[in-house]
Amino acid sequence: MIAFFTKILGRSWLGRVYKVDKPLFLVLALFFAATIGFNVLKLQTTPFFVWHMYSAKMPETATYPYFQITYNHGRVVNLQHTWNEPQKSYLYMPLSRYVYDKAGADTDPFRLYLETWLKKHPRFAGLTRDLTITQHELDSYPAWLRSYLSTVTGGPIDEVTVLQKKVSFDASGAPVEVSSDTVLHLPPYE
Amino acid sequence: MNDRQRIVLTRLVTGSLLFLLTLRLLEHATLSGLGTPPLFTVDLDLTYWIYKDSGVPDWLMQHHAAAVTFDICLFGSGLLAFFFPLRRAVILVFALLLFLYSMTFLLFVVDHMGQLNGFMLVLLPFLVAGNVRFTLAWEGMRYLTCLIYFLAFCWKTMWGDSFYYLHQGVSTFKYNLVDYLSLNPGTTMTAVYEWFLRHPWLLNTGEKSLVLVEGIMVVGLFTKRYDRWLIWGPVLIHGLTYFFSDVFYIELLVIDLSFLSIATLDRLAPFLSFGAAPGRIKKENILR
Repeated sequence: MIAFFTKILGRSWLGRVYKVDKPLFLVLALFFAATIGFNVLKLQTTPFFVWHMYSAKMPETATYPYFQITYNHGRVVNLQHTWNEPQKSYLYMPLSRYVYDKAGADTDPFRLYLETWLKKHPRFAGLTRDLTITQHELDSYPAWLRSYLSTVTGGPIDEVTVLQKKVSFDASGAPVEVSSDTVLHLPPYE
Repeated sequence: MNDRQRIVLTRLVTGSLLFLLTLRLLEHATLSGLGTPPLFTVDLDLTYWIYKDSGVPDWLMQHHAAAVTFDICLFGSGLLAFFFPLRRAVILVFALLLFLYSMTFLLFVVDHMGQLNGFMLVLLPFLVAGNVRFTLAWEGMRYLTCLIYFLAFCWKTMWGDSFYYLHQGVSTFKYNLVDYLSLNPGTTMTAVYEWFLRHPWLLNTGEKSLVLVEGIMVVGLFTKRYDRWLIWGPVLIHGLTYFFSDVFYIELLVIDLSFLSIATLDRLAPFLSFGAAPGRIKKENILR
């Protein structure tokens, strides 16, 4: 039985790597073991081991939110194509974080986790100082948004308004606006 | 794999990376286009903890000249890797800069999205010396491709619960396309999307089918017999999610190139092997 499995393993890809280059075998075996291990443990310690996108349930709700950015008195940012995603991500993800933090930075789960963790490991306090967003960084965000918007639109940005809209879908599948709240307003330059 | 085939493969991979990076450059999403983004997230990922603590990302973002130089080096090393595909030192520089770019982008975009994982991993086998060892390392990329889609399937069916939620397809569709549908009334795509919203069972069935396609990729861990079909699995997944979930995971397809057969590389050789050294064809049979 052992001979049978040894033969199978020897013919496998890792078995062939082992025969050709033992250090390479070690590196690859560790990499694959880590990939499987960290997924089983549900532990994200590197950017590329855990593959859990869209694994959580996204329940249907009555309304669906999105941010609408208008600039220079009524011009709407409208990135239509999916291949615009890198730009779209930079416009909307930090914005979402900004709005969330403005509403109550004390509820940031990572900040809360870090505070609890540091009570147990006070020696690491110096190393974790730069790992959470400071008030100064949060306050710098609107200026950066104006600057990045200027890069994206290719012109000067005078005024910016961000609306958080909530939309429902009618029977024909068309969106129907339910609410619209201003979450950020950058007044024109004096 | 011989030198000629390795050259073709290296050019396919580096060429794809350069194309995707150019798209990002035009989208103002390379470091020189980002300005000085103040918000970031490291989450519980220790790699980001170390990277942020190193001060490198903040320094790069706060000095525009450094960010421009970084982009020039990134594209320069990529071009050099394309034209000198057997120079591993050049590929090492490109791989390092690509890794740094991916980390910096994901750090300041405030979400550690998975589509750049391919950027971080795909060049690693090309750092291995000797064609026999390179072939084995590249074969590892094929196994990794099968494994990660299967792990994504496990996440949705075992460790997460999205597979068992019957409205996941239509719900994801609404969350991701609500801005497009609101801002673009009257377009052809809006009409198509609204038709699908009137037939949500199609979206829900499609979503479950794609999860099953992810699961099917496990077959590749045990046999290469179905590679000619398996290569289309990721293309199908990312192609359909591109149109129906507004998700740009096309960039992860760089690792799907690991399914290309030796015969395909030979067919592409007339177009991509210019400047190739004489091949060591006999060695390919050692591994096949």
